[in-house]
Amino acid sequence: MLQDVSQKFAGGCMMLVRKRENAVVFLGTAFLMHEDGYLITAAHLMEEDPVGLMVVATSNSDDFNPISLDKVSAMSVSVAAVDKIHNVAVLEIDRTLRIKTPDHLGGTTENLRIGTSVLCLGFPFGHDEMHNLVAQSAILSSKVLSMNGARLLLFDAMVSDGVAGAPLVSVDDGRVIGVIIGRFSPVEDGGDFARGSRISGYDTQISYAVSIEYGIALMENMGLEVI
Amino acid sequence: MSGSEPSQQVNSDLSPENSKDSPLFDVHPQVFFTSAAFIIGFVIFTIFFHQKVGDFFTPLQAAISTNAGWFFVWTMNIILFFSLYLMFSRYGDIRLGGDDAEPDFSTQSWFAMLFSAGMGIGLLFYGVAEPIFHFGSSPFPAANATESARNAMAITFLHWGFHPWAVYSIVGLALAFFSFNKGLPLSIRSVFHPLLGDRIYGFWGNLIDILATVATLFGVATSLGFGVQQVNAGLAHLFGWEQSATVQLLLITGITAIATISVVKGLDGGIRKLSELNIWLASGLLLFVLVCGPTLFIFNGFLENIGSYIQKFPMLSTWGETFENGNWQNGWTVFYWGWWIAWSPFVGMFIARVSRGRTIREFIMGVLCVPACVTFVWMTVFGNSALWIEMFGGGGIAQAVAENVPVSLFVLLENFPFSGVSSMLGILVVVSFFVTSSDSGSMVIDIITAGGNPNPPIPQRIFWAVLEGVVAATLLLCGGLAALQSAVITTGLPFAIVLLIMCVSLKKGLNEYLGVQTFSVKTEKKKAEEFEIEGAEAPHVIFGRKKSA
Repeated sequence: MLQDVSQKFAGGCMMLVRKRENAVVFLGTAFLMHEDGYLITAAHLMEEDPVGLMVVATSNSDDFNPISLDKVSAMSVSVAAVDKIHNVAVLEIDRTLRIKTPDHLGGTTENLRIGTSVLCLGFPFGHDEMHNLVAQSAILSSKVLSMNGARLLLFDAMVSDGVAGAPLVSVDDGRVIGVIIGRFSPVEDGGDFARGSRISGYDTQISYAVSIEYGIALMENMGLEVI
Repeated sequence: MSGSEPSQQVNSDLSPENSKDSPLFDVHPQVFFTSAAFIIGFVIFTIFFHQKVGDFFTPLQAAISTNAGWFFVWTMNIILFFSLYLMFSRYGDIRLGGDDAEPDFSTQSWFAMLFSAGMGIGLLFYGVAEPIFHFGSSPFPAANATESARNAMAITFLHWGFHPWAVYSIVGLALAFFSFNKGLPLSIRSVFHPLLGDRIYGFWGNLIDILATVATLFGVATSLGFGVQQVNAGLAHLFGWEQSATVQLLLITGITAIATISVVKGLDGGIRKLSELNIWLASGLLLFVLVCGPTLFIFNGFLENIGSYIQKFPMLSTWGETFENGNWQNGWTVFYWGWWIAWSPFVGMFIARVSRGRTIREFIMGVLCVPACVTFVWMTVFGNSALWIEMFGGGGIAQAVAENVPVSLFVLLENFPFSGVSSMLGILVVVSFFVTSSDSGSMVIDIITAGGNPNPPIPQRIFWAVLEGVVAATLLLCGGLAALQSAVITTGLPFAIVLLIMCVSLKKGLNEYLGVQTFSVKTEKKKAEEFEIEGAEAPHVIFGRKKSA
């Protein structure tokens, strides 16, 4: 099942980059959610600057691929909708593509059970110039409501910064259930630094995603149907 | 008005209440206007040249029966075994509309609707007439009357049993699957998506939908036209009413008015309720004949008929009249096969519309097995009663059948007590079967010509329901009903080919659905720009209780 889910979503995961003169700078991951060229990602990756955003599709992840790429083919995207409160954004590819998406992409977190097998697919070390798509498996560890009422999905994997914006997929039904944001830390200040016995946010083995429903709601507000 | 591509609203809420927010018209321009223009033009042409139309289509129908009978026999058997295969295979677990989909209608309402749409008025008249026809003139001459009666019931079961419902189940399943599970418009064109790809939105897709619209409207309209003649004959027999164009026009107006109200009220508010009423009325008539008729003969006969059908099924379903070198089959089996196939886009589309939320196994069980079994009960009650009167009673049914098929039902009822009441009930059942066929036919045409929108706007519903009645009335008054009916039945041959292609397409679609699906992103000719890629400090976010996310 993990293989099937990985195979299903690999082609839809793209590197999110920003154009800087003749180069692009890696930001994180984005994933296709609609055949008209709409992707979902984490809003914080854009740092409130929608200019120069691009995505890079990668080659077959089942092959041995070079650890680092010198040049990439990038396509411009524009920000179609943003939900800053829940840290989700919808991007639209600016050029015409022929995209075929698998059936049943959008999942629901309503009846998700703790312990469900999940898969993350992203580019964890893109910031360090490793451009390979990496799959990580985990279980759903907890369902948490944040202070502002956002539905968060905690899972037991240590995700790296490059996976931010990647899909969290339920292995049971092969549907996206969340948008990965980063590592989870329970402390008030964000836990960037270890203090005494308290571990740093970077050291926790738990990561989190926001519920995919926020992304789907953004798309539906735009008149897009996610099946 | 939508654009040239059909609207993609199929997976939205299917409740009829949605129509309240619909615009006045939401049509697929090519399909709507071309179909309407063709229908009106063809009817006008038929009025003026119905002799020529008849001269063209009647021999064509005969030629098709003679030369392509074997093809119909093959097609029907392939379809039946394909539907059984789907029911018992791993595909049976697929739920129409996705894993979370819930049925839109209760099982009882679902059965009522699909039975009312699938088996029209013919069930009433041929329930009595067909066993008597085969009893009197069997293609398998028997040594005695007992064996002739057994053969008669087995042949009747063949024509009304699993084969027709298998055709409906495959067409309905293909439409429901591609619409509810693949997000394509609820339209005949959609079932060819695995083979034609996005070309279904172009010329070929439009052509398929236009053909389905025209065949459905002509099919329902000619049935309505012939049907009112039969009702008029029944009323004349019962009450001495005159058989005139005026009475028949009034009947068409009444039936069309009720059907229009039903279609306007929508699937849940109108069609479902009328279908349930139809089933209650038909059940009442059935129970009446069962209780007042030869009850023990019917009970004994039911299992025996089924046993006889099962025993003779391999022989009857593959029989091609080869060594007899006759043409009995052309007038019966091949005619029926062509007829069911010609009606399959209409009935299949309607069944698909009401079957969201069922698994494929439930769907085929529901569409193939349950209605076929109900049909067996019906045929046994009416057919065995007629045979009992003919074999052990006062007789007279065979003569009535030979003289006027619709009247034979009422002649049968006259053999039992309270025949006045039961005949009135019979008339009511006839009318309700008409209305339920007419409203579901209109609904199907509405959906196709609205580009697959399952809740087309009310003015469009009125347009098609009224046009159906107008076409029937015009042909009745000016002639051309028989010619047009021949034309409809000749569409059975191309649709048989379409059905086989549909099986291939459905299998391909189901395979893709169950297999691992992947994303495919293809760029146009212009290649994406190339850039050097650099790393950078990550804009990280780590969750804390005071952070916004």
